[in-house]
Amino acid sequence: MKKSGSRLSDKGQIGWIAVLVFCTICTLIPLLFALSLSFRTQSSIFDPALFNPDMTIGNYIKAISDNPTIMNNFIASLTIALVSTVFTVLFSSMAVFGFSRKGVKGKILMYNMIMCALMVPISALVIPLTQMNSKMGLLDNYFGLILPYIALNIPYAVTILQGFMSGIPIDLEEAATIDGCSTPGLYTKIVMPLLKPGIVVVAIWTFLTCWNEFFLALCTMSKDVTRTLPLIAQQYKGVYFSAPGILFAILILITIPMIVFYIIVQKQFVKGMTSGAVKG
Amino acid sequence: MNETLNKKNKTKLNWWGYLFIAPAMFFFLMYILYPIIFVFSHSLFSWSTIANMKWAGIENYIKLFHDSIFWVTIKNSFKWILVTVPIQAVLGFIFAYIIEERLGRKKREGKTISKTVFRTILFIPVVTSVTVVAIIWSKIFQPYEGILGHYLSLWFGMSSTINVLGNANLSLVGCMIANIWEWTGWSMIMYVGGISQISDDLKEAARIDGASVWQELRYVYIPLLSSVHKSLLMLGVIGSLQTYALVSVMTNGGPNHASEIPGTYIFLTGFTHSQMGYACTIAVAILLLALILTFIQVRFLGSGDFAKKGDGR
Repeated sequence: MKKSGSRLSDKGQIGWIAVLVFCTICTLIPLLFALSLSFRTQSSIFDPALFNPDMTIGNYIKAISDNPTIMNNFIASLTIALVSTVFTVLFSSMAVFGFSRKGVKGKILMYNMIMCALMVPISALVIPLTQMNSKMGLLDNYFGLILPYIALNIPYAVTILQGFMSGIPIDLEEAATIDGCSTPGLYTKIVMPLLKPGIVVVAIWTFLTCWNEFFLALCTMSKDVTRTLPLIAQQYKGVYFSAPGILFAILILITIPMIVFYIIVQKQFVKGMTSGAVKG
Repeated sequence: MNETLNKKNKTKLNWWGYLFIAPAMFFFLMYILYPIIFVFSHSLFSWSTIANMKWAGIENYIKLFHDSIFWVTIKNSFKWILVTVPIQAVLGFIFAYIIEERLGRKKREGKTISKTVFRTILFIPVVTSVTVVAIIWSKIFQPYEGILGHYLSLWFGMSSTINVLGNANLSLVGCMIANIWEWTGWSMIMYVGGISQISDDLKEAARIDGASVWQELRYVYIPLLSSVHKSLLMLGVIGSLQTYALVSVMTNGGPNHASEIPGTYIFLTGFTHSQMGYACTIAVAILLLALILTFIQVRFLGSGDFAKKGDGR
């Protein structure tokens, strides 16, 4: 801080940090409150204070022993989010590559059609998607969510990847073509590696949206074992109305994997975001 | 379009290109375009299951026009957009600005760690499942048991019985606060991305010229981040129109439809009251609203990163 340069005094620096720390603490309070509630006993649970020393881990034990299907719900969420993410990344990167080829007529029309899909709110499509799922026998089936999730995530993925694609110099591809690289080879060997920072952003974002999606899941999944985690959170809200300690223990159990996941991938995510996913 | 097609007819069609675009187009046609056509056509019937449809013509639309709850959902959507989108953007920008530009501008070991810590903590609400967010905030707002009322009465002597979600004037505000808490981190990370694209020379130049913080923001950061502002606005508008889980879990549109939004109203009419035709009509109205709002934005603000007219390369 000796030479933090410019006119900035240490005092100014401390002011900024104080603001940031204050906001960060405010952001954390709801989560800390939930964490605190998850450790309360039945006698301290209704105390509105942020902390209460009367604590137990009984809520967690009961939450897990009462609900043997919670592992199925976790697997359902994970499978659906992972499969949707893989195919969203694959199809959107392929599409972006296709849009960059010469001699593809109507590609601007197709590109703009996909862009228009960005403006479609999912709540308007829930009824037809549910009807389609029931017709195809995909209710209570992972694919009843995976297929629409892929479709709904492709537009945003294409937007992000298009930015990276237009940054790839055409000379590079031409050189590879002259060296005898086929079109699919161009995609796998040249374009895919160069799209990597964008793909990381798209993959993490798609995974998060699929993991958290609620409305369509609510209309599609009705069996205990196929429900995704957002659904069981809502279901347990009613079940544990009189035992909120257990409810909050479940909420914490649902939340922790995602926080751990984000902490692991955050470096790659921020790197992708700062390398051109967003235009300044 | 036809002319250019004819002119280019000589060049060979690139089948590989079509093959690569095909899967994305298939999903678009099957899961986005077909459902849109479905809601339009099925809004002209009165039905509860596909097997039992009765032609209704524009009856549903007439009913919609006279439905006061529907107009409440539209009003609430506009409130939602006008409140949450700007607040999330401003807070997100402030966080990003402090983290990226005030937490030590020079790259040094200790600084990057503290940057990472703040960025990660402030992003945690985004990765928290929306139903979890809704349940936690319902608890915070709950009279007697929630921390909000407790600390308001402890520190400011207000009544601790204030029932945010049970009050017709406050329930939507309560949901919006939870939404802002959840999504500010996303705005922040978008601005972090945007700020990193501003050239260091420009920042340096502003500093050498002795620009004050306000001037720096006014003449360097805010104008140069315009495409981030636009992207956030666009995503915010669509995000607002498709909000469902937060309101569904927190108030379920209540009390007495005061916090009803399009998503909860579609669920109520379609799945609870089994008036699928009418629910499709609401969906059509929302699609049209989204279309109009998008059109207005693209027309008057430009499109940000979206909807490129050329093919970009």
